[in-house]
Amino acid sequence: MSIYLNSPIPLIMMGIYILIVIFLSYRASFTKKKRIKNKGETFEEYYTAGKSMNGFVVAMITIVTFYSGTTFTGRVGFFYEYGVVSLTSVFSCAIVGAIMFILSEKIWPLSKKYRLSTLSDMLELRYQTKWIKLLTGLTIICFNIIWLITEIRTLGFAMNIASGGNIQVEIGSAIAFTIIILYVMTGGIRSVSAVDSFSAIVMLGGSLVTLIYIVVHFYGGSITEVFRAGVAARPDIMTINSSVEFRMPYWISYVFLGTIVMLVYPSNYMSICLAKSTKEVKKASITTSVSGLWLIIYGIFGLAALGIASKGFTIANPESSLLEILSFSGNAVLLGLASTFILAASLGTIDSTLISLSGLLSNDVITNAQRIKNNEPCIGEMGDDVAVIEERVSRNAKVEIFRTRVIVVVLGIIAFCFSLTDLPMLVVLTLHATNGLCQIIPAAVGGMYWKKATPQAAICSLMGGVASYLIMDAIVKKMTIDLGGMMLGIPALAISSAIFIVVSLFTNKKYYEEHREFQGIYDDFFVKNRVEKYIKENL
Amino acid sequence: MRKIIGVLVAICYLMAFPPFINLYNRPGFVLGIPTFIFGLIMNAICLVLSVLVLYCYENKRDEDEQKKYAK
Repeated sequence: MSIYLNSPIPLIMMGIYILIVIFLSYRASFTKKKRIKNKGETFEEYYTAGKSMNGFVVAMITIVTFYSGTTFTGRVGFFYEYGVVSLTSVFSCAIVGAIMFILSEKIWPLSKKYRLSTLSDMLELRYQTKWIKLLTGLTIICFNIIWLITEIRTLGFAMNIASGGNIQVEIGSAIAFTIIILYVMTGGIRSVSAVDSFSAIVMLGGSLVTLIYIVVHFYGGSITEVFRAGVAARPDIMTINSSVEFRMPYWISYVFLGTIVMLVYPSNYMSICLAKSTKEVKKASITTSVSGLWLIIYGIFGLAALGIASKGFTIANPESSLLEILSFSGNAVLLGLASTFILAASLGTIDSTLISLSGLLSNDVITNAQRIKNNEPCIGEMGDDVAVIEERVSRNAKVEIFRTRVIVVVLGIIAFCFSLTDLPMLVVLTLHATNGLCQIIPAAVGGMYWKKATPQAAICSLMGGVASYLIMDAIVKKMTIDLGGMMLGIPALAISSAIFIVVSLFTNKKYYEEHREFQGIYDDFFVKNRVEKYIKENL
Repeated sequence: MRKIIGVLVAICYLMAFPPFINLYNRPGFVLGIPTFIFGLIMNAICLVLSVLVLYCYENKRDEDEQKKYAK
């Protein structure tokens, strides 16, 4: 049966959502008051709203960034095929809150004092070298852009369904993505915050209503009947076992890597830097943790799709099973609601990823490369006087923001072109994303929590980790070794961690003897409450 | 308190890996929910509640300290 319904209602509902998005982004950046305020805007204000957001907004942005449109398409399809082994995200997202909770205590005060915007800024401050900033920025961009590309496809898919097949997937992607590019480019993080807060509510509320409808319409209002029918259809995939392609090695590596990648995930750092205090970040982190429990919803959708055969229906494509189930019901409003919340989820991921990557490319790569060429001092090198820090962030502010706006468009076009390519390449790149990002962890976490970490160790570990991952991946593919789904990011991370520790132990004595002038910066990282005291007295 | 919560979070985290995961990695149902899903949700709830307790405890402690200094 086709997933299309002969009704304009889904498209109308999606159209209303898009109009509200346009209104919210306009209100966030184009009103007279905002335009006056934006005249003196720095990159920090464009990228992190000058650290002014409350916990609720930070939570909504974090949630809608993590939970993409793919949650309701790809992940439901993955559960349909492979069962409970696909539920790794439920646990990973629950623990993300704990990670943000701890990280915020270190990151927020430092980013407030030194007006930092990105993880790479933090590493430049810690290691007093702009090269680690450049390498980290490039690594994050190369590996994180895949999330942008896959979600652009989901945008088009949602538009295609809502229009009853009249809008082609590529045209739908182009329309929706153009709107996103426009409001990200013009309004920066303020537009993104306004839109994402709304989109998160649409996603959370819409998915819950859809679930209730499916349970009531097809399963007599009994959630246990959904579980029973789903399990009866495929009992073999209701435990992690050896009978399927993805087994315990996949579960272990995905839960482990999915957790620790949050230590360096760029949108996480952006979210922390958005908040107006450490306390607000902690509130947001707990909300994010709770939302991990909500994520079980895609497993329940998967079970509903498995059990639907017992009601006389057949799923044609597991990845569109949620929308197919709603088509079976003939309810255009619910199909419209589902298409809209999938669009909202995709949009929420795309806009924050786009601004995050654009900021990295502008600030961490291009501006940083210029600073390396001009031999400018590192962040914090000239001291921690408020006026000195203000001068650093205000210098060339207009140029930086203009450049970031241009990059939003350019990066958006590049990502859109990639999204038009064949699926196999995208699937391969998706696997690389988490694995590649994890190689930054020793440099980032080691720098923040270990006094003996050195810049030489950070650079060697990053390059060694990425290289060893790519080499191992090439070898495994060439020799077609079956690892049960285990992700090669783990052995690569072990290698990069070993390199980091060994090089640090060999170089730390000489390095810290030669760089005593930066003791104030090191004290900011390792002396408790020192930065909080500075903030109270000066900011 | 941090050490206690840290240990609790670590235990919850370890429960997601073998051999502890085998406690709920089995067929069947618990309260009508597939055993694996039930165990996973319970584990995640314990983790979330641990962080929530830590937040509430430290928040109260900071508020009490502020009241004390205000006096």
